[in-house]
Amino acid sequence: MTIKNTLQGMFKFVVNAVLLLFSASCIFPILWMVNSALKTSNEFMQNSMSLTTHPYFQNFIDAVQSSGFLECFLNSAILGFINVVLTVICALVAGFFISRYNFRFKKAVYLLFVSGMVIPMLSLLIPVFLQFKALGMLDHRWTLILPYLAFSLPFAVMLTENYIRTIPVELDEAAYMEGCSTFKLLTKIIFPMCSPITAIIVITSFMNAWNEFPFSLVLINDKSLRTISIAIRMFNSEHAINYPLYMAALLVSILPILIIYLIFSKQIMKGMTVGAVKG
Amino acid sequence: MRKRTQILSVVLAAAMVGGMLAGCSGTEKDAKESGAGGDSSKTTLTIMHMGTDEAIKNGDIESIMMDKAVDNFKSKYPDVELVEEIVSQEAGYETKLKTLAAANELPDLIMALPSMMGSFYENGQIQDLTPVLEANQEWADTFADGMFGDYTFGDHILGVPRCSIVNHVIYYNKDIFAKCGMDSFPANEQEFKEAVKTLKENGYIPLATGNKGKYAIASQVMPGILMKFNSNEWYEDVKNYNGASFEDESSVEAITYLKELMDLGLFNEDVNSLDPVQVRQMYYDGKAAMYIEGSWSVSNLINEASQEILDNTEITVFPPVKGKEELKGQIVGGQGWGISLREGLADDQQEAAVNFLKEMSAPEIQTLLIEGGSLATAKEVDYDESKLDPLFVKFLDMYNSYDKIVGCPEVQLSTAYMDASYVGYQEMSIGSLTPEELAAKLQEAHESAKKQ
Amino acid sequence: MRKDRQTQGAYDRICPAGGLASKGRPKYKNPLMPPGRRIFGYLSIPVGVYLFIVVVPTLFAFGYSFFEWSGGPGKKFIGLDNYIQLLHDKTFWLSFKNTMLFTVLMVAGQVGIAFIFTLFFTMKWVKFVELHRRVMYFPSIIAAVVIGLMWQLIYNNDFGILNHFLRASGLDGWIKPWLDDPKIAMLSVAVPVIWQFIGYYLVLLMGAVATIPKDILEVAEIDGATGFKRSLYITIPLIWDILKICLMICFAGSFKAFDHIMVMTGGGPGRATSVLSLYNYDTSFVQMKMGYASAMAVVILVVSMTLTIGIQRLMEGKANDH
Repeated sequence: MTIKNTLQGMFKFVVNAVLLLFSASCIFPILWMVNSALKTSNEFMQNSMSLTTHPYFQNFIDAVQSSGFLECFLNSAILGFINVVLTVICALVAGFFISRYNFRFKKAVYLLFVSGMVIPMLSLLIPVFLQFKALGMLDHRWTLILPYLAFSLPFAVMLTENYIRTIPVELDEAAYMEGCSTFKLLTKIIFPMCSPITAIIVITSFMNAWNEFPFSLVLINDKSLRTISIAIRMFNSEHAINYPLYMAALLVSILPILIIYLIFSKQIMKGMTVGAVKG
Repeated sequence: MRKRTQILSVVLAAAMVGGMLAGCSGTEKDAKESGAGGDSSKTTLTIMHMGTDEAIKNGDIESIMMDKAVDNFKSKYPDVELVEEIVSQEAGYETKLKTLAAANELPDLIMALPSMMGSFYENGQIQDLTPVLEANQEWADTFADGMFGDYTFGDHILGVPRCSIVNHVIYYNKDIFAKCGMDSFPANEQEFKEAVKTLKENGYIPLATGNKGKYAIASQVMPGILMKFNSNEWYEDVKNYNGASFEDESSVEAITYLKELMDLGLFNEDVNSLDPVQVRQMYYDGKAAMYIEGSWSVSNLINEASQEILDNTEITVFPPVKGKEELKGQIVGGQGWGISLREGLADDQQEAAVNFLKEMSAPEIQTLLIEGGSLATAKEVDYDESKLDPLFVKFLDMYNSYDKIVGCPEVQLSTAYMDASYVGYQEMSIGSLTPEELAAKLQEAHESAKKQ
Repeated sequence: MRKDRQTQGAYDRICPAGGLASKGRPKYKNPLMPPGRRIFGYLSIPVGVYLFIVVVPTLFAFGYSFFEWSGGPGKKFIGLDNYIQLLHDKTFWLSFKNTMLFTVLMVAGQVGIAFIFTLFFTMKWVKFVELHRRVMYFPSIIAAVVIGLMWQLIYNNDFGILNHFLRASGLDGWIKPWLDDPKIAMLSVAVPVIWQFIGYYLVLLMGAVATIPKDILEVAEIDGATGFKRSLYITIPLIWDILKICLMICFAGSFKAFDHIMVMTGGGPGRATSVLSLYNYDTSFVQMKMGYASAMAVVILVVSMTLTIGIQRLMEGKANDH
């Protein structure tokens, strides 16, 4: 019995230790980036893992002041925000109808979204470009909204569809009995209940828009409409890279994601507790 | 009936979304165009290139010269509106360029690699510049011999160079060589092999190379070796499908020689996962005895390396092959990324575009190039010798000691060949292809481009 | 209309609404269901956008796949030649094999580890659950470029911390150029991606576990390892729905993985880490064989669609067993 207890104690200790180690490894990238961004280029190239001795903040200033960086940052922030709003609404609507009703073409609609998950988007680059060109949709502030929405939707629809299925259908019934319209049911009852899954969708769809790369390159020519993912890559030139400057720019560029993450990760947690009560 | 309405509603909805967006786009675009059209005397010219602000800050001479050429052009021709689109290599310049090419939407002035030019020309997207050069003989005569080598496809010249480069410059640390008992750089290929052995035994990386992008071995290391084993006539015959082939004995011999060097540990162990910027550091740290990169790296060295390393650095290329002394004078060089003109420019655009090309090779730019540490394209260049860095002077001396500039297959042949060569040499480096198999693959890819 | 609903209310109580899981049951009509026109009104925007950005371009790509096309106006119709060539393209099949391997590693690694972690987090003796959950999600919000670059440096032969650590612990024999050895390159590329996304699935799974009543889990958690096994049996069926989604998202995401591999190895050494999306990109944007690349894209889409649906069917079958 005691041996068994010791073994179990050890098992518990090891599991805790492994989990802590893993968690530690997860914050490592950001610490490494901060450390790297505070070095000079020479310092970094000599040893990319060493701790910085004289923090060199100039990199951050240079990054932010580099031409067009802030403009691109703002462009992406707007796109990201619009994408989040549209994705959440569309996913909620699509998820709700697919999970609740057996309408005609439901399978087809569902498959449509599944196909979006597996399609290699890069192979659509040229056709989408041609299509946008033919319709005169290139090079506008909203050009990227539709592609981003389309890229974010499949995962979002999957998640909401699955989540809404766990919400008891009696709620719908009661709502209809009280004279709720479908619109009201969606906005007043279903949507608030989806908050944990919505939080995840908010983070993911913002990131999709924020990090998306080849489409923003190809569909936009105007320098003032470029996105942050392009601005970041501009720091690498053909024959020379200033890594610390690049890191500083990357750090500034992940700030919004970080903030959104910090806000909404609370939401995920809150939602979970609600979910537990509901269950 | 019901079903039909449903389908109809889906289609209508989709059409509405599309139509709505297309509709508002139309009005906006029209507004823009009419705004620009108000000033009808202005010629608009678009150009796409890689000279980003960041590259200029990093001292990249090719970007600096593009920037200068654009500025000069703008001040000289104020009635032409030159619209630049600048995208760095990392930000997907090639992806964008090829998408535009696919859509037949190339800008008016295009910065492209020779391998792309061939394909663009076949598809009728860029101009043959031969008539332009003939009509402007005076300007054409300012170029040094062979400056259109990379852009010459049969009778056609498809581009104008920005600068001139040597693909396969070896930068070596004479101090390390001396420490390993070698007073001078190996004089032939056998000695080079011995040197690699000795350097390796002494714990140095013989030749640091960053082949993650797959081009370093294929377009920098290999051409240097290949053209010490083969004559330029052979290469021209290969290029023009005139009976010569990569499977010829002398070619296979060259590939086999590289393979032998690889087996001796010529490269750093992680050659295939590092990029050139990262391997330069091995040289700066004194861990590598040599590193290989194009001539552009002279300016990187000057900017980045310590004085001690700079003082010990010498510049050369692969040594000649015993018994093939007649090929001694060959050096693989070229122009790399050049500028092409879109097919179908309006008359005023054409004139403006040619003026830009002239501006790009103007004497002032030539001076800028040389003084910035790059080879110029003109026959005669005025420059202030005192402004040249000693290392660049070493490079110029080395370069001038060669009398025949020959082309680089990876730059001049088709994109299909390029891809096969990039991947093929990497595969040979990890032992999954033998030299003979590689030669066969290269030839196959080269032939496949002919069929098109 | 309102009257309609009331009369059918009774029917509804007999047949509760269900999602796709209701497959196989006799067809019924949810009486609460708004008329078709309204459903399509609601769905027209998401579906319309989708048709416009994904379906129409895919049809275009399908069209190009019958041409020899290197960009520009000149297309030459060659029928099925591209598809025939694809069948004989060794690199395509190698990339296919690599993709499958990569995908299996991802699904097992990401969802598998996330699932095990989730089980641990249901146990009282595991500390700092809230902290873990938050921190572990963190890497998944960082762009692939950063993750790739960082791991490239971790793997670095000379100064990377991995080899440094091995040297320090006397495991010199293990030191390797991790991304350069064709035998392990695929694994070396897989590890960072697995590491990055464990947290993503963890959050999804923990969300589902939170809906399981506490007392059920407490019964299982009497003691360490045995309890672990038991909770495995109890938990899986209860979170099967979300687990299924995780598996599908992971499968689909990994099947088209591109960025990480591009940054770390560019598909090399040789073709050792070349996956389908990378080879497809290579074909169209390096070799400029747009027609051939389109044919490849069509095949990739068909294969991945088939596999995804197959997996889904398989899992649904399994769900019915529970």
